[in-house]
Amino acid sequence: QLNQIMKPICLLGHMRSITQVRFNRDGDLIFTCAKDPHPSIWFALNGERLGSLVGHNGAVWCVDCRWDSKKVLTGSADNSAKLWDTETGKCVLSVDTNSAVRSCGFDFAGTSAMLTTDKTMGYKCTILLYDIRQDPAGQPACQMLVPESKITSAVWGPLSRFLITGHENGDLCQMDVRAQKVIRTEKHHKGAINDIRMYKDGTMFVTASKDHTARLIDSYELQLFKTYKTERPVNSADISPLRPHVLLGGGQEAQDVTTSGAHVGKFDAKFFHTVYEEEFARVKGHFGPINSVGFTPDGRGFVTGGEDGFVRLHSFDNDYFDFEFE
Amino acid sequence: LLGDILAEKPQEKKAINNALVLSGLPIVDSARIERLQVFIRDKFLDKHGEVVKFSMPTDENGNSLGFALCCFQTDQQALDALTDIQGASLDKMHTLNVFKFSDFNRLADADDEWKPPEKAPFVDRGDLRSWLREDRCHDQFGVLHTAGSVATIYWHWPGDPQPVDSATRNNWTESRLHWSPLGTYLATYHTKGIALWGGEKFEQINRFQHKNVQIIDFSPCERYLVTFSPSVTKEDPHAIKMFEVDTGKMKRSFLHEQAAKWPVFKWSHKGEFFARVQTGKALQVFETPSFSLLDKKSISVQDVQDLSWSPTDNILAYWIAETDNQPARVILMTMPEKREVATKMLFNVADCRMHWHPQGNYLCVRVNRYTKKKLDADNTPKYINIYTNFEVFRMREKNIPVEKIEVTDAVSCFTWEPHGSKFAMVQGIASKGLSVVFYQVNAHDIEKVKVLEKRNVNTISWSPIGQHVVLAGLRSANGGLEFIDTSDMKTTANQEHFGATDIEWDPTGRYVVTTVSFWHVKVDNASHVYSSHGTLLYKLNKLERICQFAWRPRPPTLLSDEQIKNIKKNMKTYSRRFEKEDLQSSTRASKELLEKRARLNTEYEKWRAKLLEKFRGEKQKRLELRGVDTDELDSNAQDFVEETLEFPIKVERIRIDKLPQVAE
Repeated sequence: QLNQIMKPICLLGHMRSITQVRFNRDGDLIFTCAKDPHPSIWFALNGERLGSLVGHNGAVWCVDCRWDSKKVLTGSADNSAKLWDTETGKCVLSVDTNSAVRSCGFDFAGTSAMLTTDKTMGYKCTILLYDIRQDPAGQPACQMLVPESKITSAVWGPLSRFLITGHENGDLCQMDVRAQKVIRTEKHHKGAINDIRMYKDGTMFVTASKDHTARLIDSYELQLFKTYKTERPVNSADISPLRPHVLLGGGQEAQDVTTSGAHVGKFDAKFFHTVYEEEFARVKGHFGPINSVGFTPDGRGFVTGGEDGFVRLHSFDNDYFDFEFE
Repeated sequence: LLGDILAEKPQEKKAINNALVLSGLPIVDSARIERLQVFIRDKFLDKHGEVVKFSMPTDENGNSLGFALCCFQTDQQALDALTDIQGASLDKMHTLNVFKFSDFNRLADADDEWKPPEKAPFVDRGDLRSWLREDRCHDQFGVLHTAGSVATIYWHWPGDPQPVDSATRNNWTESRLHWSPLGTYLATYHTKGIALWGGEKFEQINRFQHKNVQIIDFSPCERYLVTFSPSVTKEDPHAIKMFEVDTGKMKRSFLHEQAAKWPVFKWSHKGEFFARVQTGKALQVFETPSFSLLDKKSISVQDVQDLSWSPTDNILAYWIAETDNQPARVILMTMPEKREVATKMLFNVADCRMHWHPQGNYLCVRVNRYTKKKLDADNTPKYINIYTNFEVFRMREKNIPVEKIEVTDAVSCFTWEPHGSKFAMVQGIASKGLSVVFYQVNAHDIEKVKVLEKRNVNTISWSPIGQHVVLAGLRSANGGLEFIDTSDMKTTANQEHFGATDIEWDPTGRYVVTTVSFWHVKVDNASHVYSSHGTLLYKLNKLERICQFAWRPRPPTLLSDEQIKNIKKNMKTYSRRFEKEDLQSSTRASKELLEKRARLNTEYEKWRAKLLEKFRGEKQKRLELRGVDTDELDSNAQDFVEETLEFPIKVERIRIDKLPQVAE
């Protein structure tokens, strides 16, 4: 059992619940967005804030950083997505959409951006691709309507040949937006897929679902390989780039809240062994459900963002790196 | 509309359902016929309703033929009469055989030629007790999970319960799982009725048809099954049915008229008798296997309220409510002799509840008594100032002496210690703080041995072998569990299973399981397994939405008390052998676990190898897309720029009085 983890650095920059936390590829910057309109960028070394991105008018659902760390992409409930310059925090491109932007992401090369929008009054859930090298006219290069179950989480597949989308009904699809077709659909989950995170090499990913499980799936054929079971809905999950560990964060559905234990800081991040599917550690600290988790790109720490508005940055003790299952 | 109007069209009444045929009557001559008619009507018929027609046919000489026909005013009256007088005896030689007139036609149409019934093929059910012969005497338990759609039976190997082969089934039951009292059968509920499963592979043993069955009860010997369904029809108005488990045949069925607690029919310990109360009127004691009333008649007891059998002897206890001129009474009667072995008069009684000691050593009657009584507007009694007495009958002593304990506080959760002589209860009201009080029945008195104050407890759960008890606050209390060893009244552990809704000891008294059932709470559904001393052993939380956890009961031990004493004396030698076996099995378990993990690892490596092959194949494309190699964090080390950052750690101000002199 893991005994101690060094005290975490608490990043207090948001007034509302955290929606996503992301690292840049090099791992020296942390990007956090929440239900307030100002996403923040922090130094991972000491938790010092680089700055915040001002421009959105509503909750920011998603954030992504380009592979060269030079640009940031955000999607918001104010029906827009914005492209920012990381160093200066200036907004260089803004596109308007018909409904809230739920997921966003740069492609492998960093030349295109994908957005998915929510299904609301009259507008179907849509996937939009933009070529961001173009003049900021803001017209999508192509788009694709998603007729049935709306997309709740989306990431680019290997080499950005297609998108991997998770849906409200638990479906997992490969979408070729340029060819306007669904390449493949699999139903591994029984509830909405809240988060999808790619492994560092893009060959496999982990899905976090409302059905109390997280699953390890391959990117090429969407074949299910491992399942991690918990007692609560899972909001986010990530795969360690360094050790065979998977990190899960979750909570409980709002309508099921009774007076659950009322022990302060009871919500925990759970660690599972990737291969044995067994839980081996829990890290407490959040006062509300955990909405987003992520390992540092070097695997030497992890970050969690919660419903309580706190972002906690942890570094692993030496015990963690030596820890083996008997 | 038209359809409705047509439905209301008066139907021709086929006046057959209110008519009965009484046969088995004595044959008398014309002189005594009229006396016989009056006798029959008086004794059997008039009390069930208005007899509109009665006829006793005679032969040419005026002698009766041995049967009579009667018509009641309503169908219900005829049905009531049938149930009541069927099988009643007139005298030593004559027994009434009553049947519905409508049945008569059916019998008359029967085949003239008798065909011998077909021989049913012999079905070998295998060894229904196979689970008891498991190597290490592990118990089984059943779990209903996934919101009730999947049921699994497990072997309880502590720490690592394993599902029994072919015992995970979807939609095995439509409502709940129910083990028979000795653990031989698993009963499942279905719209059509009950199914029983058993044997090593849980094959279906038998099916019992009862549409929309809602609740069931087994006789303690497992020979009979009683089912209740609220769906009754005109053709089949009997809500309660009794079946013989072995053959699947329905032996008897009953109407369910009065509101009552289940089980309506209570069984004697060997299944020889079953009885129910007709509130205020009589006790009906039936015997098996005939399923007819003992001595062919009910036991008339004015104002009788409730009955209860001893769990180990054929003794029936019942209590009679107090009336204006008679006090309440508790009476103990042996069956089938119907001999009264103990009576207790009780004064100022509002209500009584009977609690038998599980080994039949004591009967405790909880009597709610009042200081004042007044009558409401509609003559229902209202009781002021209720206090509680407990009358303890010492069943094993000569003449069954009775002792009294008085308690002024409100009382709940009375429980006896199995195989012991203690009892416990919760006293007080929630707002002032509840206490748990333990009493000990000694040879000459009943002693209050311990009062535990300020306990938020609503369930007292004793180990089935006695001595250990768990005080639990289930459901709305916050799941506190206090484990107590009553030999020295010390608390061995305090645990908490937040939101626990159920608690159950295993049949051997080694483990306690608390469950948060999905039927009551929608989150955190899991079962926690504790040792008898309260150490948390493991949690069963990998199953989703657990609804029910049920240990499989065991039949009572075949060892005599002598043999048990001997084993306890030689415990040390047995312990040594078991410890050796435990050590061997744990190393075996860890070896198995290591092998399993090694296997999982090789599978994973193979899967990853295939994926990595694809990854490497795409390397060229990746270089093209980004212009640099970004496969590893340090792939493009040449692009790294070394930067030195300086952070001031400490700032100190030193005052210099004189500038240093420059040497010449």
